[in-house]
Amino acid sequence: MRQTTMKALAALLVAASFGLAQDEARVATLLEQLGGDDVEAREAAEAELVKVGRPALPVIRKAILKADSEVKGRLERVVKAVTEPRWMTDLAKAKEIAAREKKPILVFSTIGDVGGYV
Amino acid sequence: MRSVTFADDKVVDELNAKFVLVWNNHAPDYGGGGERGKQPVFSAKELENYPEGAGGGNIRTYLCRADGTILHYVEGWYKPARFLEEIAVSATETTAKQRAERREALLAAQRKIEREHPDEMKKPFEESALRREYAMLGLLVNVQDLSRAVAGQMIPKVLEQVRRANEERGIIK
Repeated sequence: MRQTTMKALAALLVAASFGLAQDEARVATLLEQLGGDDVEAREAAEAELVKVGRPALPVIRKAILKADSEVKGRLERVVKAVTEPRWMTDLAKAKEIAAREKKPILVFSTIGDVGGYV
Repeated sequence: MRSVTFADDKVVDELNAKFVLVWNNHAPDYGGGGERGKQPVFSAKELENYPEGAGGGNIRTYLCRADGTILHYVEGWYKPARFLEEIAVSATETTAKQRAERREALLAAQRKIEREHPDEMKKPFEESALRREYAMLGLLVNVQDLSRAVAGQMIPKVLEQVRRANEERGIIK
């Protein structure tokens, strides 16, 4: 019983580390793409890094230190998009996105602008 | 909300993954922090003893269908766990029955505190976490009633009503 559990655990660990390695390889490719000449590819890489989310953050934070100003700006936007709520202020546009992505809308209403609130 | 609830990793991930997020400033001329559009920012430490549910009409969260129909409304400030619990109620369609059941559960939790800790009920808020919990549960009961009142309405209309109410209060011109 214990042996079976240990084997299952080992299999899980191998699968998890394989997943991590895949994430790292994907992030490395995207970072390379982010510094390339093709503007569309840079945009796509930025969006893709946001999709990878928190697992990409340690590598991104290291890359920020060495990046040129354009790439640095993009990487900082990725960090913000992953670590902060992605607020928008245009309700009509939000409704279009919500319909397209089949998501509900959360409206937070307060006294104060985004970034200037309690 | 910024320094505690909207800074919490779980809240951020949940909001970004499940919702399209809209920020609405319902009193754009107000300058409570000395600068238009800004309010003072409280640290996580300062907020430790701030009662959950407080903040009332200044802190409003509406959960809506993609077409803008309101499903649920949460009024006031809540810590991350409570905020996630409350918005989970409305991530899907909230029925009148679900809302009534939640209201009952909140009232039962309030009665339990009252019954089991009568001495705590006599203490001031700042000296008793249970007293604050009791008050917060009461505010959440109120949230269910307020939510029932706006559910089914369209969000632009409700935001306009809030704006007008602030105009009448003299907060905005």
